[in-house]
Amino acid sequence: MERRSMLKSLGAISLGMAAPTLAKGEVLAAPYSITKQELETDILVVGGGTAGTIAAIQAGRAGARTILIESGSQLGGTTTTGGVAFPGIFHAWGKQIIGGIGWELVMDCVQLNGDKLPNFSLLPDRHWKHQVTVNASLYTLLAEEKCLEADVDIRYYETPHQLEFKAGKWRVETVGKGTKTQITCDQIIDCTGNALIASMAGFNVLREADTQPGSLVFRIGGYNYDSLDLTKIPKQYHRVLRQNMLEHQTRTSREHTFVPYSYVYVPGADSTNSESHTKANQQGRSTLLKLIRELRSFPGCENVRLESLKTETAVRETYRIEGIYKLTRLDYVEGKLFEDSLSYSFYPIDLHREGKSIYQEFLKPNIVASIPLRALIPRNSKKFLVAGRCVSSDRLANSALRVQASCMGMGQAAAAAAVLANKHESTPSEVPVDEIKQLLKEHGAIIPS
Amino acid sequence: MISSNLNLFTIAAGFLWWSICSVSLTGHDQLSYSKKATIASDSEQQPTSIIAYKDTLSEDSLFLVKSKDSNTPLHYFKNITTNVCFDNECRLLRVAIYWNITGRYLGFDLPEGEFLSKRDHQPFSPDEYERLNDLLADPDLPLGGISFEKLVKPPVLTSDSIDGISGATTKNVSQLVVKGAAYTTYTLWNIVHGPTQDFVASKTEKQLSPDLIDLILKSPDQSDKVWVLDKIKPTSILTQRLTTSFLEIIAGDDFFLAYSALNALKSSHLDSTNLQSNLFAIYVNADHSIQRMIIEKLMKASFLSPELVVRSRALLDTLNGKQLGDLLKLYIKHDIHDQATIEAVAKILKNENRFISRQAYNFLKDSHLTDPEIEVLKNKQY
Repeated sequence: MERRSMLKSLGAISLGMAAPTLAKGEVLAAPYSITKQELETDILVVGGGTAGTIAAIQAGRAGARTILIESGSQLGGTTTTGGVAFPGIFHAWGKQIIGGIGWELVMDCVQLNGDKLPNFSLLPDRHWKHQVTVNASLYTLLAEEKCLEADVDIRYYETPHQLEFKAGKWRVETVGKGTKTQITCDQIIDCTGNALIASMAGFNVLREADTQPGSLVFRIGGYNYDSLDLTKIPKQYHRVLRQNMLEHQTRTSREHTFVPYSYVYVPGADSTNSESHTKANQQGRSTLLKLIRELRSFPGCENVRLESLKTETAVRETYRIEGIYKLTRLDYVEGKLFEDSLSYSFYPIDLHREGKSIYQEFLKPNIVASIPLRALIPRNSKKFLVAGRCVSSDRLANSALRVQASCMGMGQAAAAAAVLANKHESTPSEVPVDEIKQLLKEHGAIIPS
Repeated sequence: MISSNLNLFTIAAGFLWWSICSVSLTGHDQLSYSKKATIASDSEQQPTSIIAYKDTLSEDSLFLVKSKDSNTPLHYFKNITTNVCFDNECRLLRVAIYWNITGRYLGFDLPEGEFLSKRDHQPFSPDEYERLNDLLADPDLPLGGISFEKLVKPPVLTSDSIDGISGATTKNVSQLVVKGAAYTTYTLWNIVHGPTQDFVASKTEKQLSPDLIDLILKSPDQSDKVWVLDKIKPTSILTQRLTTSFLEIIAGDDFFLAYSALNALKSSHLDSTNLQSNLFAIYVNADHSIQRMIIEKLMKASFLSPELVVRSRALLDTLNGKQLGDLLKLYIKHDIHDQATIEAVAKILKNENRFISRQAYNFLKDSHLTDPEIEVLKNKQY
């Protein structure tokens, strides 16, 4: 009896040690575990940035079952998380050249923010004056709303870690916060900007030995640019002080006077993996902190303060695919039209060199470049497309193609090709181009002609 | 304030204007340059009257030229007398500057024997007059709100006179001025784009009638049209003629004008069956952005015309999912749930595009139909 009662009391003690003290209404949560699931879809869009958001909306609206995975917490990429809320260029030489879903989003932002569009009929003296300032927060909300309306299954905080092509289907494994998901799909659109999935799938991707710097976008206040005595401030600080002047987003005149944000360069910024992306963000933040401390030492800038800072360093250049066709600088500056051109692109060749100077080549009057479907398809791939800055192109052409409106146009074009390839149980390169063009037209896109 | 004390130069300048239709050199050493007029007029055919306004901002009076028969304001002008100095020698310059009724620069002329000259005393060449005319017409030149000394950096002040400054035309500034006449360009540009411009625009805004709005909408200059569209108020009356002008602009090729015209339409204007029907006629062939703006406008009307409902219903199965969704939201907003519409929408339920069929389903659910009822409609033979 003694032994039995002793054991009983020991049991009670050990039980008492293991069991938490629960207040009324509290329950003990199950240990953290990874949720595993298998999903099937027609189209998988990887990356919810500039191109991916548009691609997903287009795929959903064209009736395809669509999953969009995004490693961050919101859509829009460079426009929202990166803070370049200044997408362009949708117009060239007095005419609209990129329409469709990207333009719809921009128009919705402008309308809902009570803004006015600039007058595109008038040719600006600087190309960026045709870019449209948008409220980035609204853009985030509207992009998500449009995806959900198109029944796109958005999966934030997820990233693929392996994939294989088997029996005519892609099988992609993703990991996220507490999730491990296997997605089987018919077509993939890589909109990571880094050609990450193309590389993972074994297709050739290219990279320059030296890449353009990224930019960390911020706004500062607490000074009056007009009353600064610039002779007492070193010249290298003038740009950052000047490019901070747009105080609201209303466009009542045809031109901006300044680019509506400031930024610090981040040499070698690379968002390909967590480590390189972390490094790019840390580098940008420490550079900015140093800059603010320096600015405050100049006359008239004593009260400079940081008013806003974007979440991530925006990246200009990492990897690009080796596509069926590689767009060249000459194609771009001559405005070459291809039989399979699906979208226009208008921007100068714009290569930021080591963060110190920008090499620019402007398109001649009435020249507008175009993007063929073949530049969106990795060589030797099946049921696979890319859209965005990883488009197959040489470095100089890429420095112009990477801008937002062009990426939006590519996103819509890639999705149209993927949807039709899925419908025909085929691969994008085998879909009749006229059919893709027709679908794009039906959805408001402007087809090069 | 109206004044009748016009001097001879004033009258001469005012009447001289009638012979000017475009950039021209008039005879007898009288120089006149102009841009497109908002409202074209012909002095020989159309008698005019001149009204003087005392300008509280300067000693110069401002004159309004109106057509005598219709009392339509045509343009304003002002005779300016100012000193122009070169190499410490100053001379009085007399110039008449003209504004369109929207405040846009119209032109300038010089009285007989008067001329403009440069720093080196050379008179302007015809090309330089043309250049000045173009510069004065550009509202975006960065010549306003900045002192001349600050503009021409680095200032080379060789004396207290203006000529030294005129000589400091830097490379950057030289793109904004007539070469060798920086101060003259700067001075005239600031007169053209100064307070008188706002005064003129504000006078016209107060006089805007449907007929005057319509006349301005017919201006050959886009900025005049944008200006007047921006002045449309909920209380502005859209006459039949004005409505036609609006519709022509919305259906036109100029996206920015169409966009501005749609923005100018207020909810009060949309309560017109005629306007709604015509807007929807434009919708059919419009650019997607304009289509969406038309639907958004119709959302703000207090009712939706039955004719529009019938016409739009016929289009339902030709629209893409986004267009369909927008149109069905318009129906929902105006409580359009009649049997013909429900049946037309139900036919779309079987569309192979799930995004499209879902728009139809959402509308029918909003029409308070149950899932079984929707299923019956879906399988019904139409």
